[in-house]
Amino acid sequence: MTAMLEVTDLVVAYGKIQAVKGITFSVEEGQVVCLIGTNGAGKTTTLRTISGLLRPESGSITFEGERIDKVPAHKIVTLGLAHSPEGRRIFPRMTVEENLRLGAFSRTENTQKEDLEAAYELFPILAERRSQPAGTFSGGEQQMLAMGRAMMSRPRLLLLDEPSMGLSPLMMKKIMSTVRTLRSQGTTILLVEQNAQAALSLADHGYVLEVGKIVLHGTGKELLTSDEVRKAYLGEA
Amino acid sequence: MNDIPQQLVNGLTNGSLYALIAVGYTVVYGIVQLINFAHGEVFMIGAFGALSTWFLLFRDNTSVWVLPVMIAGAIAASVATAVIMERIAYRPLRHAPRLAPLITAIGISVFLQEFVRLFYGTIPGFPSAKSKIPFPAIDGVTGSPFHLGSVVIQRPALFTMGALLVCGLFLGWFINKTKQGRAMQAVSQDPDTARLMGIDVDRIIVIAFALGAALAAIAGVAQGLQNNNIDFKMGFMAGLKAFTAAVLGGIGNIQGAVVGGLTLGVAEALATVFVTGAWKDVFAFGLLILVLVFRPQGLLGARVVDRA
Repeated sequence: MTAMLEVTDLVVAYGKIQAVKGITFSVEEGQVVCLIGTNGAGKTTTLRTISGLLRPESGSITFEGERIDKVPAHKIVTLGLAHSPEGRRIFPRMTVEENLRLGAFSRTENTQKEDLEAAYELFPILAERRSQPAGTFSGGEQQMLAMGRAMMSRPRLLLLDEPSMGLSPLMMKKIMSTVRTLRSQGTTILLVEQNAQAALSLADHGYVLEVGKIVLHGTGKELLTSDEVRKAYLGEA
Repeated sequence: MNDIPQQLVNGLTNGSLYALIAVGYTVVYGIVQLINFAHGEVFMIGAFGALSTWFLLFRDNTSVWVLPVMIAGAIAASVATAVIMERIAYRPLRHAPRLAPLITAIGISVFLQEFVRLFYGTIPGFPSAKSKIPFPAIDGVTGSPFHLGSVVIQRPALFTMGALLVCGLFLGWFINKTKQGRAMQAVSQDPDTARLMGIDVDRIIVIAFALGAALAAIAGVAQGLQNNNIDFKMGFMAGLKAFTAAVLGGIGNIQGAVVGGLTLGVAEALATVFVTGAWKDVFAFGLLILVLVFRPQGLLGARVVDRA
């Protein structure tokens, strides 16, 4: 039985500088898996390579048994893999609803109406603001929009990059509880976070990245209690 | 001073022509941040496409129903030119420093002019393009002008202004109402995220080039009807003026291109009234310099294909 997503010996470089130096990990269907690590550890680079925005130097990426490391980004989303990028990257001069509709761009079946309803149910505040330009939103609202937009393509695997970045503790809680909701609704999630505490406490499995390499992995619980993680990422002496 | 109304009509006519061409500069810039200096030649090739269609299919027939077929021929020639140029000259340079595609654009511009000049006359039955070639006078669209009081309105002027109106409405519909149009807006705002939505950015770039080329082709026909002749260098000055119009309105902004085109046309016409016609290019490019110094984002601002 192979995992839903398998990343094997992945190397990604910007010019001559390797940002990801041969990492191997997998995501089982139905799980929340997180990658944690400091700035520059290669987390975002890994996600951008999985979704096809970057090309790996070597190694392979397999999604549901199919190699996707040479598939262009706009086709990967049609396979059932959506990416909510770092910094939200919503389309600022479009309304909430236009942003969400673009999320469904890859859909061939016309399920947009019910998918919009589902997104609004997940984040009721988006429904209230459906015709406002998204650029005027707070960070938390933009994060909800970015996640709602990613869900519009009905992904089986959601890549979620730094959803808690710059959010208030309250908003962060809301986002993390949404991650739980999405998992319970059957979406597998690969989560990248700098906030190790929040990410590990809901992850089934976690990997710790340091300068492009995986230095540690285990279940969320194991990592939360491991000495190395506590010292390096949870700010304990 | 009593020729001001007349000059306004002339200004709006020229301005409509500038606007039709300026849209091509602005749409392409909004998507790939490239000033396609060969766009003036796409306009010129549109005019030659229309003329060639007429030579091949109609010859001495100048009935009005010939015109739509000529326009179709013009669009085919311009769109083919623009799409091929994007594919072989610009796409390989997509990630090169900005100066490389810019210089390439100037190279293509010179190439296309010389190609038409030297090659056109060698096609059997076609006249030499080394000097001006007469453009057919289509019944109804050319001929005796209309009089509105003391103002004279040439028939081709009405064609040009009407063409801008129709094209403007079409663009507004395309950008805001179609799936490809919305994808185009998304690419202009954030190309990487657009790819994550499943948008094929290469395809959108081709559509942007084709859209601009189609409007330039219609402008080429309009110019032929207005001047009764066309020549291989007609794209040079028209292209510069249209580029000025696009910058004036805010490069990347489609509404801006239309506003900029009409503003430039009227400004030139007023310069003709108050100074002298010989100075109108000085005013046009003086205006460009003033805009670049005091309002570089243009009258309407933004570098985005947002909202036609």
